[in-house]
Amino acid sequence: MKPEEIDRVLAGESDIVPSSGFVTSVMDAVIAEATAPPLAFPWKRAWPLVAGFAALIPWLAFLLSRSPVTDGPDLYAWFQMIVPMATGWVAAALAMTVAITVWSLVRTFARYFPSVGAQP
Amino acid sequence: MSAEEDAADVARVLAGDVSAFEAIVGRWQSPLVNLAYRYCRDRARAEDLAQEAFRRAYRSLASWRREAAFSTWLFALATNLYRSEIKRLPPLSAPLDEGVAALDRRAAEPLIDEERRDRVIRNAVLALPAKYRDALTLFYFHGMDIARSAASLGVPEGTIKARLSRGRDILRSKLPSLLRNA
Repeated sequence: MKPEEIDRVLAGESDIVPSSGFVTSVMDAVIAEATAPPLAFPWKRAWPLVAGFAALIPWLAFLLSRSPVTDGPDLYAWFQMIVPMATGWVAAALAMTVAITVWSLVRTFARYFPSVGAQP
Repeated sequence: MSAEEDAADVARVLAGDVSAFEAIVGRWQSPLVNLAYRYCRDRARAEDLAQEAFRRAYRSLASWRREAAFSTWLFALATNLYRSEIKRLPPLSAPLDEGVAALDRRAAEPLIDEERRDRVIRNAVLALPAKYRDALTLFYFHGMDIARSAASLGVPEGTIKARLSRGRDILRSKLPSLLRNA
Protein backbone atom coordinates (compact mmCIF):
# COMPACT_ATOMS: atom_id res chain seq x y z
CA MET A 1 0.00 0.00 0.00
CA LYS A 2 1.34 3.42 -0.97
CA PRO A 3 2.17 5.97 1.76
CA GLU A 4 -0.10 8.54 0.13
CA GLU A 5 -2.97 6.12 0.36
CA ILE A 6 -2.40 5.66 4.09
CA ASP A 7 -2.24 9.45 4.46
CA ARG A 8 -5.49 9.81 2.55
CA VAL A 9 -7.32 7.25 4.71
CA LEU A 10 -6.03 8.53 8.04
CA ALA A 11 -6.27 12.24 7.27
CA GLY A 12 -9.61 11.97 5.53
CA GLU A 13 -11.49 10.47 8.44
CA SER A 14 -14.81 12.20 8.95
CA ASP A 15 -15.58 13.67 12.36
CA ILE A 16 -18.19 12.36 14.74
CA VAL A 17 -20.68 14.79 16.24
CA PRO A 18 -20.95 14.86 20.04
CA SER A 19 -24.40 13.96 21.34
CA SER A 20 -26.80 16.84 21.93
CA GLY A 21 -26.64 16.59 25.70
CA PHE A 22 -22.86 16.53 25.90
CA VAL A 23 -22.34 20.18 26.91
CA THR A 24 -25.09 19.92 29.55
CA SER A 25 -23.60 16.74 30.91
CA VAL A 26 -20.12 18.29 31.17
CA MET A 27 -21.49 21.45 32.80
CA ASP A 28 -23.51 19.40 35.32
CA ALA A 29 -20.32 17.62 36.32
CA VAL A 30 -18.33 20.86 36.48
CA ILE A 31 -20.99 22.71 38.50
CA ALA A 32 -21.32 19.76 40.90
CA GLU A 33 -17.58 19.92 41.41
CA ALA A 34 -17.53 23.70 41.78
CA THR A 35 -20.36 23.79 44.32
CA ALA A 36 -19.27 20.77 46.33
CA PRO A 37 -18.31 21.70 49.89
CA PRO A 38 -14.59 21.64 50.56
CA LEU A 39 -13.29 18.38 51.92
CA ALA A 40 -13.35 18.32 55.70
CA PHE A 41 -10.18 17.39 57.55
CA PRO A 42 -10.36 13.62 58.24
CA TRP A 43 -10.26 13.85 62.03
CA LYS A 44 -11.56 10.29 62.41
CA ARG A 45 -8.50 8.95 60.66
CA ALA A 46 -6.09 11.49 62.06
CA TRP A 47 -6.92 11.27 65.75
CA PRO A 48 -4.76 8.18 66.50
CA LEU A 49 -1.79 10.02 65.00
CA VAL A 50 -2.55 13.17 66.99
CA ALA A 51 -3.01 11.10 70.16
CA GLY A 52 0.27 9.31 69.47
CA PHE A 53 2.15 12.59 69.20
CA ALA A 54 0.44 13.91 72.30
CA ALA A 55 1.51 10.82 74.23
CA LEU A 56 5.04 11.13 72.89
CA ILE A 57 5.67 14.44 74.61
CA PRO A 58 5.23 13.22 78.24
CA TRP A 59 7.08 10.04 77.33
CA LEU A 60 10.09 12.02 76.05
CA ALA A 61 9.91 14.22 79.14
CA PHE A 62 9.95 11.08 81.28
CA LEU A 63 12.97 9.70 79.41
CA LEU A 64 14.83 12.97 79.79
CA SER A 65 14.03 13.10 83.48
CA ARG A 66 15.59 9.64 83.94
CA SER A 67 18.83 10.56 82.22
CA PRO A 68 21.65 11.28 84.66
CA VAL A 69 22.03 14.91 85.53
CA THR A 70 25.40 16.28 84.51
CA ASP A 71 26.73 19.68 83.55
CA GLY A 72 24.87 19.45 80.28
CA PRO A 73 22.54 16.93 78.66
CA ASP A 74 24.26 13.51 78.41
CA LEU A 75 23.31 12.74 74.83
CA TYR A 76 25.37 9.55 74.71
CA ALA A 77 23.50 8.04 77.64
CA TRP A 78 20.23 9.20 76.17
CA PHE A 79 20.98 7.54 72.82
CA GLN A 80 22.11 4.36 74.60
CA MET A 81 18.71 4.24 76.24
CA ILE A 82 16.61 5.14 73.22
CA VAL A 83 18.30 3.12 70.45
CA PRO A 84 17.11 -0.33 71.61
CA MET A 85 13.57 1.05 71.79
CA ALA A 86 13.84 2.68 68.37
CA THR A 87 15.09 -0.53 66.77
CA GLY A 88 11.67 -2.08 67.20
CA TRP A 89 9.98 0.91 65.59
CA VAL A 90 12.40 0.90 62.66
CA ALA A 91 11.83 -2.84 62.14
CA ALA A 92 8.06 -2.29 62.26
CA ALA A 93 8.29 0.55 59.72
CA LEU A 94 10.43 -1.57 57.40
CA ALA A 95 8.01 -4.50 57.67
CA MET A 96 5.11 -2.19 56.89
CA THR A 97 6.94 -0.71 53.87
CA VAL A 98 7.66 -4.18 52.49
CA ALA A 99 4.05 -5.27 53.04
CA ILE A 100 2.65 -2.16 51.29
CA THR A 101 5.08 -2.57 48.36
CA VAL A 102 4.14 -6.23 47.89
CA TRP A 103 0.45 -5.38 48.15
CA SER A 104 0.80 -2.59 45.51
CA LEU A 105 2.72 -4.89 43.15
CA VAL A 106 0.09 -7.60 43.48
CA ARG A 107 -2.68 -5.09 42.73
CA THR A 108 -0.78 -3.65 39.75
CA PHE A 109 -0.15 -7.08 38.27
CA ALA A 110 -3.78 -8.05 38.80
CA ARG A 111 -4.90 -4.91 36.96
CA TYR A 112 -2.55 -5.07 33.98
CA PHE A 113 -2.21 -8.84 33.64
CA PRO A 114 -5.62 -10.15 34.71
CA SER A 115 -5.08 -13.41 32.81
CA VAL A 116 -1.95 -14.35 34.81
CA GLY A 117 -2.89 -16.97 37.36
CA ALA A 118 -6.40 -17.36 35.95
CA GLN A 119 -7.69 -20.88 35.47
CA PRO A 120 -7.68 -22.01 31.81
CA MET B 1 -12.33 29.56 17.19
CA SER B 2 -10.97 32.71 18.74
CA ALA B 3 -8.04 32.80 21.13
CA GLU B 4 -9.41 36.06 22.57
CA GLU B 5 -12.74 34.40 23.35
CA ASP B 6 -10.92 31.56 25.10
CA ALA B 7 -8.80 33.97 27.14
CA ALA B 8 -11.84 36.04 28.11
CA ASP B 9 -13.85 32.99 29.15
CA VAL B 10 -10.96 31.57 31.15
CA ALA B 11 -10.61 34.90 32.95
CA ARG B 12 -14.32 34.88 33.79
CA VAL B 13 -14.15 31.31 35.10
CA LEU B 14 -11.13 32.13 37.22
CA ALA B 15 -13.00 35.15 38.58
CA GLY B 16 -15.70 32.78 39.82
CA ASP B 17 -18.19 32.67 36.95
CA VAL B 18 -18.52 28.90 36.41
CA SER B 19 -21.13 29.37 33.67
CA ALA B 20 -18.44 30.91 31.41
CA PHE B 21 -16.93 27.46 31.14
CA GLU B 22 -19.94 26.41 29.06
CA ALA B 23 -18.71 28.53 26.15
CA ILE B 24 -15.33 26.80 26.33
CA VAL B 25 -16.99 23.38 26.32
CA GLY B 26 -19.19 24.42 23.42
CA ARG B 27 -16.23 25.57 21.35
CA TRP B 28 -13.98 22.60 22.07
CA GLN B 29 -16.39 19.70 22.49
CA SER B 30 -16.09 18.46 18.94
CA PRO B 31 -12.26 18.43 18.76
CA LEU B 32 -11.92 16.80 22.17
CA VAL B 33 -14.55 14.14 21.50
CA ASN B 34 -13.04 13.40 18.09
CA LEU B 35 -9.53 13.13 19.46
CA ALA B 36 -10.80 10.73 22.13
CA TYR B 37 -12.64 8.76 19.46
CA ARG B 38 -9.42 8.28 17.54
CA TYR B 39 -7.92 6.76 20.66
CA CYS B 40 -10.73 4.36 21.47
CA ARG B 41 -13.00 3.99 18.39
CA ASP B 42 -16.02 3.97 20.66
CA ARG B 43 -18.40 6.93 20.66
CA ALA B 44 -19.73 6.53 24.22
CA ARG B 45 -16.27 6.01 25.64
CA ALA B 46 -14.98 8.99 23.65
CA GLU B 47 -17.60 11.25 25.23
CA ASP B 48 -16.75 9.94 28.70
CA LEU B 49 -13.07 10.62 28.09
CA ALA B 50 -13.76 14.10 26.72
CA GLN B 51 -15.99 14.90 29.70
CA GLU B 52 -13.21 13.90 32.06
CA ALA B 53 -10.78 16.04 30.04
CA PHE B 54 -13.05 19.07 30.45
CA ARG B 55 -13.38 18.43 34.18
CA ARG B 56 -9.63 18.30 34.54
CA ALA B 57 -9.28 21.41 32.42
CA TYR B 58 -11.72 23.21 34.71
CA ARG B 59 -9.78 22.11 37.78
CA SER B 60 -6.41 23.20 36.43
CA LEU B 61 -7.48 26.25 34.45
CA ALA B 62 -5.27 28.47 36.59
CA SER B 63 -2.21 26.55 35.42
CA TRP B 64 -2.67 27.67 31.80
CA ARG B 65 0.28 29.95 31.03
CA ARG B 66 -0.76 32.41 28.40
CA GLU B 67 2.47 32.08 26.37
CA ALA B 68 0.90 29.07 24.65
CA ALA B 69 -2.50 29.10 22.96
CA PHE B 70 -5.36 27.80 25.07
CA SER B 71 -5.97 25.10 22.47
CA THR B 72 -2.36 23.87 22.79
CA TRP B 73 -2.73 23.60 26.54
CA LEU B 74 -6.14 21.92 26.28
CA PHE B 75 -4.99 19.36 23.68
CA ALA B 76 -1.88 18.53 25.71
CA LEU B 77 -4.02 17.96 28.81
CA ALA B 78 -6.57 15.86 26.89
CA THR B 79 -3.87 13.85 25.12
CA ASN B 80 -2.20 12.99 28.42
CA LEU B 81 -5.49 11.89 29.89
CA TYR B 82 -6.50 9.80 26.85
CA ARG B 83 -3.13 8.07 26.71
CA SER B 84 -3.22 7.11 30.36
CA GLU B 85 -6.89 6.08 30.29
CA ILE B 86 -6.40 3.93 27.19
CA LYS B 87 -3.66 2.07 29.06
CA ARG B 88 -6.07 1.29 31.89
CA LEU B 89 -8.98 0.20 29.72
CA PRO B 90 -9.02 -3.07 27.79
CA PRO B 91 -8.11 -2.50 24.12
CA LEU B 92 -10.81 -2.78 21.50
CA SER B 93 -8.45 -4.39 19.05
CA ALA B 94 -5.83 -7.07 19.44
CA PRO B 95 -2.13 -6.31 18.90
CA LEU B 96 -1.10 -6.34 15.25
CA ASP B 97 0.57 -9.74 15.25
CA GLU B 98 -2.26 -11.39 17.15
CA GLY B 99 -4.74 -9.77 14.80
CA VAL B 100 -2.94 -11.08 11.77
CA ALA B 101 -2.70 -14.57 13.23
CA ALA B 102 -6.39 -14.60 14.09
CA LEU B 103 -7.38 -13.28 10.72
CA ASP B 104 -5.24 -15.87 8.93
CA ARG B 105 -7.52 -18.55 10.28
CA ARG B 106 -10.52 -17.05 8.55
CA ALA B 107 -11.43 -17.70 4.98
CA ALA B 108 -10.17 -14.71 3.03
CA GLU B 109 -12.56 -12.86 0.83
CA PRO B 110 -11.16 -11.76 -2.51
CA LEU B 111 -12.43 -8.23 -2.28
CA ILE B 112 -13.24 -5.88 0.52
CA ASP B 113 -15.07 -2.67 0.18
CA GLU B 114 -13.30 0.60 0.70
CA GLU B 115 -15.03 1.41 3.96
CA ARG B 116 -13.93 -1.85 5.51
CA ARG B 117 -10.39 -1.35 4.32
CA ASP B 118 -10.29 2.14 5.82
CA ARG B 119 -11.56 0.75 9.11
CA VAL B 120 -8.83 -1.90 9.12
CA ILE B 121 -6.18 0.77 8.56
CA ARG B 122 -7.54 3.00 11.34
CA ASN B 123 -7.76 0.13 13.81
CA ALA B 124 -4.25 -0.94 12.86
CA VAL B 125 -2.99 2.46 14.06
CA LEU B 126 -4.46 1.73 17.50
CA ALA B 127 -2.61 -1.56 17.63
CA LEU B 128 0.79 0.06 17.05
CA PRO B 129 3.19 0.48 19.99
CA ALA B 130 2.01 3.49 22.03
CA LYS B 131 4.65 6.01 20.94
CA TYR B 132 3.98 5.41 17.24
CA ARG B 133 0.22 5.24 17.78
CA ASP B 134 0.28 8.62 19.56
CA ALA B 135 2.41 10.26 16.86
CA LEU B 136 0.22 9.01 14.02
CA THR B 137 -3.06 9.70 15.81
CA LEU B 138 -2.16 13.31 16.64
CA PHE B 139 -0.48 14.01 13.31
CA TYR B 140 -3.57 13.10 11.33
CA PHE B 141 -5.95 14.60 13.90
CA HIS B 142 -4.13 17.94 13.63
CA GLY B 143 -4.36 17.93 9.84
CA MET B 144 -0.79 16.61 9.35
CA ASP B 145 0.69 19.50 11.33
CA ILE B 146 3.96 18.38 12.92
CA ALA B 147 4.30 21.40 15.24
CA ARG B 148 0.84 21.03 16.75
CA SER B 149 1.28 17.27 17.15
CA ALA B 150 4.59 17.84 18.93
CA ALA B 151 2.99 20.44 21.22
CA SER B 152 0.14 18.09 22.12
CA LEU B 153 2.55 15.32 22.99
CA GLY B 154 5.12 17.59 24.62
CA VAL B 155 8.01 16.24 22.52
CA PRO B 156 10.36 17.92 19.99
CA GLU B 157 9.27 18.03 16.36
CA GLY B 158 12.20 15.82 15.36
CA THR B 159 10.92 13.10 17.68
CA ILE B 160 7.49 13.27 16.07
CA LYS B 161 9.02 13.00 12.59
CA ALA B 162 11.07 9.96 13.58
CA ARG B 163 8.10 8.26 15.23
CA LEU B 164 5.87 9.01 12.26
CA SER B 165 8.37 7.49 9.91
CA ARG B 166 8.84 4.35 12.01
CA GLY B 167 5.11 4.07 12.71
CA ARG B 168 4.27 4.28 9.04
CA ASP B 169 6.90 1.64 8.26
CA ILE B 170 5.39 -0.77 10.78
CA LEU B 171 1.90 -0.02 9.51
CA ARG B 172 2.90 -0.59 5.89
CA SER B 173 4.61 -3.86 6.71
CA LYS B 174 1.57 -5.22 8.56
CA LEU B 175 -1.21 -3.86 6.38
CA PRO B 176 -1.00 -6.24 3.41
CA SER B 177 -1.77 -9.28 5.54
CA LEU B 178 -4.40 -7.44 7.55
CA LEU B 179 -6.13 -6.24 4.41
CA ARG B 180 -5.84 -9.61 2.68
CA ASN B 181 -7.56 -11.30 5.58
CA ALA B 182 -10.04 -8.60 6.56
